[in-house]
Amino acid sequence: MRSSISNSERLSLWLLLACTAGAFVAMCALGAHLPSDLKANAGMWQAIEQLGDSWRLTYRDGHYAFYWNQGGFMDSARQADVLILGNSRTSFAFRQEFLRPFGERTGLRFFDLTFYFTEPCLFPLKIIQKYDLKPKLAIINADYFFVTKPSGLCEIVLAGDRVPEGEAEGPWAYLKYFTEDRLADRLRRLVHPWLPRWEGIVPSGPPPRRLWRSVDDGSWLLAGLDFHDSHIAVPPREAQPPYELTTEERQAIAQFQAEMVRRGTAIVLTLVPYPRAAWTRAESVAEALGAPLLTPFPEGLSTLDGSHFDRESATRFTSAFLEELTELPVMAQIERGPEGTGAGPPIE
Amino acid sequence: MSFVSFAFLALLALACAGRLVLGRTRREAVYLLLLLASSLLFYGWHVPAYLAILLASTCVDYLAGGVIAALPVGTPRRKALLLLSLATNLGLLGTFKYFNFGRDSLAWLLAGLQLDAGWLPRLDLILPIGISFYTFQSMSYTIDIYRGQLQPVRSFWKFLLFVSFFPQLVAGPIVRASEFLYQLDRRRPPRLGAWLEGGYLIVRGFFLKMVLADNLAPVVDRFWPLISQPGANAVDAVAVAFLFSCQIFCDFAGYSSIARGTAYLLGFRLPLNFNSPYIAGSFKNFWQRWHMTLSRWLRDYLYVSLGGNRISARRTYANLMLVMLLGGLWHGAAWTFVVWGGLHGAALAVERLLGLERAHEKLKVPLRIAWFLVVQAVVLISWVFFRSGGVGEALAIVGNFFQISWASEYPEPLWALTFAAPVVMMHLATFLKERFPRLRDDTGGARAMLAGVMIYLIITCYGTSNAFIYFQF
Repeated sequence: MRSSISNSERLSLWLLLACTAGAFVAMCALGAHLPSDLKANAGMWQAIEQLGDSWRLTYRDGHYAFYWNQGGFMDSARQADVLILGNSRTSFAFRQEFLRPFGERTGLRFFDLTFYFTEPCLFPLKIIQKYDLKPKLAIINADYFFVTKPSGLCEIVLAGDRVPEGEAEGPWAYLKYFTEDRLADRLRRLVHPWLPRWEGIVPSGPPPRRLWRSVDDGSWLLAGLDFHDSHIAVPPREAQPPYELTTEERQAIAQFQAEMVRRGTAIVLTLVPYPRAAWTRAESVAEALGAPLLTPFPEGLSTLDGSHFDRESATRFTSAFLEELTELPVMAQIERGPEGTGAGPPIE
Repeated sequence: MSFVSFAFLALLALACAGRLVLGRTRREAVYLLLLLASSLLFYGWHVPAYLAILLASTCVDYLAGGVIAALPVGTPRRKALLLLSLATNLGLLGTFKYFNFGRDSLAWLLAGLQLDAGWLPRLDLILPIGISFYTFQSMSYTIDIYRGQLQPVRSFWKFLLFVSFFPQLVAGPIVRASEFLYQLDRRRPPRLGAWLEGGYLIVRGFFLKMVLADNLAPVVDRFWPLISQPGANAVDAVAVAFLFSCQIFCDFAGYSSIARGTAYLLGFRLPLNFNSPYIAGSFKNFWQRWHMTLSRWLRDYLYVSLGGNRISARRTYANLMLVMLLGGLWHGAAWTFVVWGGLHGAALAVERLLGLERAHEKLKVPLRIAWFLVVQAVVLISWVFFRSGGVGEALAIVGNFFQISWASEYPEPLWALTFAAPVVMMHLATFLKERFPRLRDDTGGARAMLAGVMIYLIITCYGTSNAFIYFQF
């Protein structure tokens, strides 16, 4: 470091660097032999590494990214013929990799506008209005979708919050915030396939939720859950008493329906099966909406966590759903017009 | 700008490159300007308006210092200018940090007297980051000049660099002008030993922060409300409180380590701020090891000014209490911090009364151990007040310390002790080195290997939390 370093100093420097590197390599070797259930799935990071630039790490389930069009998500949504709406169960059920062949056959473009946990209809409706989305068809998972009270996160975002956790407002603020985030994401994608992060040392709940979404079609990749290797059977549908919609639910349905009619968007309802699915409630919603309700229930469905379909179940559910969908009169009436702008048929 | 960010890495790389290039060409003035620009960029990174407050404090103290030094000793104007400096800095601190606290406390009092408090104004101000640190640092300049212990610096830019030097600006160490200003006039050829030391301190700091503090934080955040509930038992309450004591040490000591290491890379030496405080054998010794620069500041500028221990015993105890109460209040505008400071003040006073300040040196081993346990127990209990949202919550947790039960309801905090283990080992290592001087000679090889281990853990075991606790002060 001085303008001239002595040979002994140079040798010392190399020896110290060798000690540091040697200790680092020894730790890597040790880490490779310790229990794998303590480590974040290396395969997960390898998959994430292969996602490419059209996938973005979103915060809080995409609320910020979608509502403020951070990254261009809504530019793709505007081009979509079919919007998928609902909760995370919906997204795990209707994976784009299984919808894409159907889309290519019919010329329809799908966009996943679902949100994690249960984000009721107000938030996607606000997005649809804000970006003037005019899909031909909306496929909605009726699972607690038509509820008037939005989530707390929805309220925060609708109030103008653009960046999670109280960062300063303004274009400079999110440039800094998202640049840091993107760089951190790239660094993790580069490093963690080789050096997995240790996440199971303190069993204090699930690892941090990291959600990547595709700018092209809104697809999800949820770190952790997507790479679970469990298969929990979905029990058969139980008989349930009839469900009487509340006044608030009817208000939510009426508001949503009016907006969809104004946009010329047809609605098809579904209910993705899971142990606590409210079948009769979905039937009441369909009746109030005047929309068809498709509830395929292939045998042997299973979930990753008691709620979200594993890949095999998603394939079979989607296949069964699309088969029923093509038989609906509404599908025959959806013309392949300009993308995202074709007028939809009246709701039957 | 946070230390744990790519922006900071970029800034540091730029500053280091400047040192290597400009240092070789001996353009020290240009290098110092580069450091100043980097420091102002660092501070104004998130909220540029903060710079105005920093500049206001700096301008007043620079001018006051210059005029004080020029006036004959004993002149009333000297004192007036000193008071102007103190009033400006404490005024800024009081306005941004304590106004609403004072207002709310007064409102509570008025409500208790059945009087209307609605007329009391409330200020909607964001606390400028680091204001508690740089105002104290800047005040030390004018006070030292007033005391005749320091000559004023001629260059405003050098003084601004002293106040705003980015490694220590937002969370210390609180550096005295006499410790830093002379370093500005020194030539700083890059030295291998300093770079290695700096690199090691930076790695150590990131390990303490990203691996230990950031993994402890979510567990503490999650279980703190639970241990204040009725029925929470001693094992859980003590475990979570202990985890917090480790978290705050790692967070703060980690920041200070990064600050010192960064300063080394840039050619400056900053004072040590933490020296394994949890091996302190007395309360006095604890404050000689914990946030050393703050306790030194409070001792030299407040305690000594109040008379220190050169007056009656009763006044000395009162001074101890007052200094520690204000020290507690410095940490935050809430009664819990006042109680935290008060507990330490009371402990120091009692220790002095009993003649046990040097218990760790003078007593027989069994009594040393006994007093050590008392000290650490009081420190742990005081941390409960520091962390809690209110005095009531803190008292509930402390009450649960005595709900003796050997069964833990929550295994996670016990698992999280994994991240407290390195803290224990570090303290043990310091204890052994102080006890057995022959162990003090750290071989470079051992530190280098430890650095390799820490780098691996930083990459693979970083936690999910990110904010530095002391940024809020």
